[in-house]
Amino acid sequence: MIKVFCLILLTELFGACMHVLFKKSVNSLPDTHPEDIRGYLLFFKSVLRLPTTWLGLLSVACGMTIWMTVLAQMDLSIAFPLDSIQYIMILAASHFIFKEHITKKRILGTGLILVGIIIVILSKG
Amino acid sequence: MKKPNINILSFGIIFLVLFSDILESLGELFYKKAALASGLDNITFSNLALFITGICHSGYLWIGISLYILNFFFWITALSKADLSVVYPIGSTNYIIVMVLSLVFLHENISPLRWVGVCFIILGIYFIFQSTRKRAGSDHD
Repeated sequence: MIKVFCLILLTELFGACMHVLFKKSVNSLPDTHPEDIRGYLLFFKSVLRLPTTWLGLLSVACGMTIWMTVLAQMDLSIAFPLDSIQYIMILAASHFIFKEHITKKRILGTGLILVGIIIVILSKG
Repeated sequence: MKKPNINILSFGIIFLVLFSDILESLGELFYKKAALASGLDNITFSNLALFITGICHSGYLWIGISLYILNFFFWITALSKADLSVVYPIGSTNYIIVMVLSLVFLHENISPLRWVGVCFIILGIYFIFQSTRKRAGSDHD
């Protein structure tokens, strides 16, 4: 059980890394507001040229492999709740890595979402 | 008067994230089906290779991967339009989508407590939107 818990934690960490690396990719591009389909295609093309994007995808691949082994051993309804750890990881990363302006309202919002998720999961019985 | 623009942008983001969530939920479902199709219920290091071959032979895995690739483009677009600390929590609409899907397609019984949980999530998303509006008004970068 503890082994499975550690595996899930590792999956969450890889997941958080993915979001951080993807955000790093889009932040490094100058124009991030394409207006037509062509603009979007060019945007995706430049995103796919960045090493951070591929590192992010590698992170997903690692996370997914671990997630698969977790899913096979555990019911999805038990594995899902631990997803909520990622919200805290992402909030910390947004503050420390991207220096995003985390207002009290945003913390409150994230907190309410966390409470909501925990209630939804606990209510399953 | 920039405020209306910010609101429209926020609504665009919620649809992007919603769509990305639907794709992700469906992807998860196919991954679970793939894991079940492997026929192994206890994965160890010795049968890991067997498990991986098992899931790769299952078509479900590839459907799941295709959905994730499509999801990637929606997610990248959403990330490029707002802060990570805004886009990521909005992804919690995932829980509402899964609940609505199980209500409509699986006719599952939704307990009152679960509706309470969903209300908390919606309220949380509301506050996150509030935080973007205030931020855009006070400083622009």
